[in-house]
Amino acid sequence: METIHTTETGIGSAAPGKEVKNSSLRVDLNLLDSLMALAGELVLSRNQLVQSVSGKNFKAFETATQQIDRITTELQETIMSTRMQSIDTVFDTLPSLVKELSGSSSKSIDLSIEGNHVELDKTILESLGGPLATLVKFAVSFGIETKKIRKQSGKSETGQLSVCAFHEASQVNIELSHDGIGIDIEELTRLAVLQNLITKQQAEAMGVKDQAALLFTPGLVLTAGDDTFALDAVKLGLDKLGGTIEIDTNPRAGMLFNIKLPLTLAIIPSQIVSVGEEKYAIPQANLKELLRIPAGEVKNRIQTVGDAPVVRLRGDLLPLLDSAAVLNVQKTFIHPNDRKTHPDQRKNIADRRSKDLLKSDTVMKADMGSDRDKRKNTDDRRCRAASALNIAVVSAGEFRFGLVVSEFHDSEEIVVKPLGRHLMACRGFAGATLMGDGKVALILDVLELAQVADLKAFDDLVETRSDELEDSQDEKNTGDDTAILIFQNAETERFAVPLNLVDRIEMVDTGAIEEAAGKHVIQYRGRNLPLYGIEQVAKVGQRPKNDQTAVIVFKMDNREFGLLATPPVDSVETEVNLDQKTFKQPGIDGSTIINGHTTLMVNVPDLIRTVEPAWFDESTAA
Amino acid sequence: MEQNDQFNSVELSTFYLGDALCGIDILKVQEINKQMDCTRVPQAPDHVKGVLNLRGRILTVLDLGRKMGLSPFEYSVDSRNIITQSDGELIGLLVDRINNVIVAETDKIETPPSNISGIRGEFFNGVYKTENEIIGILNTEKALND
Repeated sequence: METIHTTETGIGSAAPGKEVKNSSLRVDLNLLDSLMALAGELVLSRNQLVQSVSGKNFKAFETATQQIDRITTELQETIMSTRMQSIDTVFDTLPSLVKELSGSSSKSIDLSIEGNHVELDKTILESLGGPLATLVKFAVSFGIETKKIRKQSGKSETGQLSVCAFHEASQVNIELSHDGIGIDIEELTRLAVLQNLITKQQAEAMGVKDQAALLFTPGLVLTAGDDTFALDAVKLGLDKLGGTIEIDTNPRAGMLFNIKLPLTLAIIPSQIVSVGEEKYAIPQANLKELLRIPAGEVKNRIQTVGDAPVVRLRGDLLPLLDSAAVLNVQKTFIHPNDRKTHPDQRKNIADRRSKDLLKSDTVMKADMGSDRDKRKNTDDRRCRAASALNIAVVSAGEFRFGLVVSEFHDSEEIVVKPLGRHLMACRGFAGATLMGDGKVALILDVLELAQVADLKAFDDLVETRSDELEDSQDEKNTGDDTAILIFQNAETERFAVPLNLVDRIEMVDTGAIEEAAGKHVIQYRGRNLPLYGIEQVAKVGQRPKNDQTAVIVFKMDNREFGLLATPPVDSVETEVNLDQKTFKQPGIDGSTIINGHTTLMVNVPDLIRTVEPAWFDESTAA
Repeated sequence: MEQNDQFNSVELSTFYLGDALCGIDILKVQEINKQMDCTRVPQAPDHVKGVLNLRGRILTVLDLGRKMGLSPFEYSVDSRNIITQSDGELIGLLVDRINNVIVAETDKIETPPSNISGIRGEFFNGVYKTENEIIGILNTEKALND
């Protein structure tokens, strides 16, 4: 059964109707002989197996099973090798192509081909011809100059075009290079902007590699004399084969295309994982490493950037994707008491105590008063081994992320089979395969999963947010944007404090606030936390009497104290243009406009100095 | 009257979906079995039950009744999986109960009414009446399209 649906991959005449082409295969006679021998062995072993079962002879049964195991493996390998064909079937067409192209122009080209013997799966080879021919045409028309120009620029009259194939790390590399003129990356970027494929800002933000890859942008048209080229089909064709292409270019000295292809598409080594109750296969080619975060470390290693969970891996932030959420599968876990599978209620990957990198040191906690949360606040809730996180670190194209799965199983060689037409709309699967128990497992398409989860935006988020984070931490208030915390006192008045002063935010029941010696305090972690309101110092409205009050906790000079606030409490990054005239008063620095609202900036040290002058006398005396 | 000529009669493999007795051309049926242990495919449409391993081939299994607007398939001892050939691929159809093979005379097949036991008429190519039953002949293209 064909595993790959080859579709039109090349452009123009380069790839005429490949789907019907070459439906017969030339097989080496020796190979066929060994296949015949294996088939014979298989029949013999089958007979042994049948006999051992009918005679209830366990020993013979074992031997037969072992033999069948060995024969199957050999048979599989041999049959696979019949599909392997040397790359010269594709390379052989190149000389005539080059001759034809150079004949019609005043160019002289010397084509050298290496690595004819390199073998590739038939399906890959069939789809390779189109992209390769397009690249050769492009190299000849666009790259190699006419004899005259070459002479003028001090090159030999004959241009060198070389194509070479070689094995490297279970991949086949094909390099196509010439010594003509290469693509000028700046020129290419300008062209892409001119053809409205990217914006100028995008172009400026790109690295050189990304800019070079613009060559394959759909819609980009290059012109060389009378010829026009669109190379997007090359990339598309290679993508379908699981291949990649890279460019190295020098505007004067030439250009190199490096194509990397997998050896075969039919059988791929994979890591088997389970998500919920079902098993899935992740191709090893996409898999970088497996990560298991012990339950106790979840709160330290898993953090969030906004709503998005990330894991710290050797200093990098790696975005996490919850496979159960992306696939919309009910998560399960095996309960340690009864060893049965139960649905997992956990919604978030990150522990609620995990740090949110956006909120620096602030840990948001809601409903601290309710019973349910008192239980959750006991320290080692996620202590069971079963609640460890299993993360498969995968990469595909430009994406690199961690895929959170329920469990890891073995790594297996799996046979890729296509999914039926009813399932074409399901994204994230490269096909299906059969497991040892006879059940079907789906193969995850890592690239598509990333796209389904809109990880691109997510990736940017991590980058920019972590930049911002660094800014806000390194530069404190000197940068243009300051991280500030916005809250209300009276419901009509908005206040703000710099986020870096805030230790944390708590929600407390108003009833739990006690009054002692003219001060408001709340019992917190076995200590008294003094609470103050802005209205004690500044002339502002009174707080409404709600059941719950937000307490913004500050730590200064080893003293902890809380500022009473009315929710919502929110953090923003914004430019603060302080108006120090209109609202300046004790405890208030002035006002600024945030999101269209006049917001009073609270000067926390000043406020405390006013209500508790004694603290500062002590600290200065000491 | 007894004409069993292959040109003007068609053999129908018949089965029940809920109360509706349906039939499909027996030449489109590869086999009928009890294999129903599917692997669910996330994001798949509701009427796709999952994928199944049939002797090394992977086939899509459809909840045929659901596709045609009936309530979701419920497993019972009578449930069967009808494996059909459609557009070069095998598709499993979950049905509630199978019935006899019936030879239908082509010229006695009538145009379908707008509704047969809860299934819209558009899913049928025609109806064939036996002495005590009405068989809806499935329009496989319509019923098995994605």
